[in-house]
Amino acid sequence: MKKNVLGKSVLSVSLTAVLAGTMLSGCGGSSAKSEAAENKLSIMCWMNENDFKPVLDGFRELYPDIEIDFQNVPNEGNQYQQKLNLLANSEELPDVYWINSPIDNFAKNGYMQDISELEVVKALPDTYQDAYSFDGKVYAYAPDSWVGGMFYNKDLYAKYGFEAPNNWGEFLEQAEAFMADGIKPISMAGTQLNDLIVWLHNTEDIAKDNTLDEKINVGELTYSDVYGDVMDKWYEECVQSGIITQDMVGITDEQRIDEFASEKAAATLTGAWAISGIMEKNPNMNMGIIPYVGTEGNAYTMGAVNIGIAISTNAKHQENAEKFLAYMGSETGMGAYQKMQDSFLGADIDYEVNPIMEPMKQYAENGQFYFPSYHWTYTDSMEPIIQKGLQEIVMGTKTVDELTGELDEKIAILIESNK
Amino acid sequence: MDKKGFIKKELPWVLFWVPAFAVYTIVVIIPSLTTIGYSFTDYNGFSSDISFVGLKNYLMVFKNKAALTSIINSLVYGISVPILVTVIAIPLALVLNSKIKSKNILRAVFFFPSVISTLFLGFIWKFILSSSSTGLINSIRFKAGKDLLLLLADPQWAMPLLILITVWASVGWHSCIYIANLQTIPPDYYEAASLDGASKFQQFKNITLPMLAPSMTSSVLLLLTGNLKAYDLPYALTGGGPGTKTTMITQTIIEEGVTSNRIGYASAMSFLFLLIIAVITVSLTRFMNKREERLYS
Repeated sequence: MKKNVLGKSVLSVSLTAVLAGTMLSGCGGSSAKSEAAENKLSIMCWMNENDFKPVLDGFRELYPDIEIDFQNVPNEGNQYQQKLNLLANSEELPDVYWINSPIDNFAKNGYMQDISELEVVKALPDTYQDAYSFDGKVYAYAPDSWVGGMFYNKDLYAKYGFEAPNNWGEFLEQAEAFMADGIKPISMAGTQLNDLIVWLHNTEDIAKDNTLDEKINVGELTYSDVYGDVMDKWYEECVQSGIITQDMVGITDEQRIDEFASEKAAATLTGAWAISGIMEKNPNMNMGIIPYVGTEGNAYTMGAVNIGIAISTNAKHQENAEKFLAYMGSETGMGAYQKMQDSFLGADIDYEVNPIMEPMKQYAENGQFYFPSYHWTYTDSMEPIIQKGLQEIVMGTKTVDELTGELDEKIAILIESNK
Repeated sequence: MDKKGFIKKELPWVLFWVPAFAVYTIVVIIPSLTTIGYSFTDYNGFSSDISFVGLKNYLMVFKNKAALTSIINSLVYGISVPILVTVIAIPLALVLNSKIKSKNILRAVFFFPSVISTLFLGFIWKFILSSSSTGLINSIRFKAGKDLLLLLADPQWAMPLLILITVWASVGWHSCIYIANLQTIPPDYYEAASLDGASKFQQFKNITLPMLAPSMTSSVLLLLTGNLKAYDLPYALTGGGPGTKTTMITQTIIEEGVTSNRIGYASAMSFLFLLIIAVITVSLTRFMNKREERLYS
C-alpha cells in the first residue's frame, strides 16, 4: 500500500516536471527558419486593425498569398514606444513597424534597414525624407504629415462678436472675455500643458530659426537658452492670467475634448484626428480651425511629418516587407492611408481632407508647421520631465527657472552618456 | 540506509522542488542577478558596446531629486496602506463575523472591490474624482452651480485620495483573512472571560487581538510588499501626478529603463529599492514573529 502511494506521488511529480519542462521549452517558440519559409508579413503599428482595414485590404488584393500578422499596440502613455524598445532589445521586431521620429537610437544600433534606395522613398520630398534620416540615409517611409491648430467654436465666438484671433494679443483679449463668463478660452489636458508653449515657440522663435531644437540635442544651446523667455511669457500671460488653470492638471485628453464639445470651452488645440470625436459628442458643433498666430500676426502652426514605416534589419520576410512599402507608396495604398488619417500628403496625388481642415492645407504644403519634441533626440526622456514640471508650475510648486534647470541637467547627462 | 533506499525516500521531494526551483531560477534569480550586473554598466538596451561604470548609477540615484521623491512617495504609500487597512479590516472582520443577519451580503459587498481589476478601479475612480466638469462629482457640482473641486489635481489631496482608494479596494480581502482566523478562536475563551467579568473591550484586547497575531503577520506583510512595489493603481488613477506627487519608484524605473533606455541607471534604482524593501520586510517579519511569540507565550 505504502509502495503504491509512493509510486503515485512519483508519477504525479514526474508529470508536473514534464509539464513544466514542456511549458518552458514552449517559450522558445518555433524556429526562425520555418517562420521565414512561410509566406507571411508581420506588421506592428498603433492604429487599430479596424481603422487600418482599408489599407490592409488593398495589400491583400494585390498579394492574396501573403498572410498578414497584424499587431496593434495603442499609443496611450507612450506604451507603443515602450513595446518597440522592448522588442528591439530582445531582437524580436516585426518585419514592418511604425516608428516616430527621432529614430537616432534605432538607426544607430542597427534595428532599421536603410531604405534610401527604394523608389517610393526617392519619390518623397526632402522634408519627408529628412524627418526619418540618420547619417545621410533614410530609415523610415513617411508619406504624410499631420497639421493641427486651434479648433474654435464658431457660434460661441460669433455670440461674443469675435472673429478667430489674428494674432497672439487678440487671442489673449478674447480669452479674458470668455473667462469673465466662466467659459474656458482653451480646454486642455494635464499631459498637454505645453501646447501653448509650442504655440509661442513656433511663432516667436522657430519662424526665425528652425534649428534651435537641434542645437539643444548636441549641447550647443540649452533649454534655458531656447525656452526660457517663451516659458516666462507663457507663465505670465497664460498661467497667471487664468487661461491655464489648476484643474487642467487632472484632466484627460478625452475630458478636454468633452469640455470643448459641450461648449464649456471656446477652443482646443488638436489635429484632424479629434474631429470625429467632437462631432460625435456634439453633431451641431460649428467649428473652425486656425493656425498658431504670433505676436506679429505671423502663422506657424503645430504639425510634423507623420509617423514613419520602417523595415526591421532582421526582417524574417524581407521581400514581403519591401512589397508592403512599395504598396504604401502606390496611389492605392497612399490614398487609403491618407483617407484613414485625414492627413496631408507629401506626394503628388489628388486627395481630399475634411472640409474643416481645408484652411490648414496651405500651411502643410508650405512647410509652416513644427512640433519641437519631434526634433529632440532624447524626447522620450525629456517629455515626462516637462509634463510633470509644467503641472508643478501650474500648481505653484515649481518655477520656470527650476524646470529649465532640470531639463538642462538631464540633457547634459544624456548627451554625455551617449557620446 | 542503502543508496537505493535513500533515493526512494528522497526522490519524491527532489522531484517536487526541482521544477519549482528551476522556474524560480529562470524567472526570478537570473533576471535579478542580470539586473544587478547591469546596474554597474551604462547599458542602454540597444548598444552592445557596454562599459563598466562602477557605482556611478547608484550615486546618480541619490543626486536625482525626482528619483528620491518617487522613493519617498512609494514609502509613504507602501507604509500608510497596511496601517490603515489593518486598523479598518480587524473591526470590519469582527462585524462580519458576528451574528448579524446581513453578514453574508455585507461580506460580498466588502469583498467585491478585490475582485475587480486594479486598472479598472483606477479608471473608474479617475472618472469619479476628475477635476474636469465632466467628472462624476464635479459634473454634479457644475449642474448645481457650485465651484468645481480640484480633487485628484490637488497636490495636497492626490496622495491621500490614492491611499484611501487603495484601502477601500484592499480592506474586504484582508478582513477575510481575519475572519478565517477569528473562526479558529475557541468560544470557551470568551465564555471564561465573561465569567471572570471581562468587558467586551477587554475580551477584544486580551483574547481576540493576541489570537489574530498570525493572520496580522501575513496580512501586513502581504500589504507592505504589494504596496511598496505598486504601479498599476497609482498609474491608472493619477499617472503619477499632479506633478510628481504620486509618482512611485516603479513608475520612475519604467520611465528611465524602458522609455528613456537607461537600463543601467534604472537597474541601479531597482536594486536600491529591492534593498529598501528587503530591509523593511525582514525587520517587520522579525518584529511580528517576536510579537507572536510574546503573545502566545
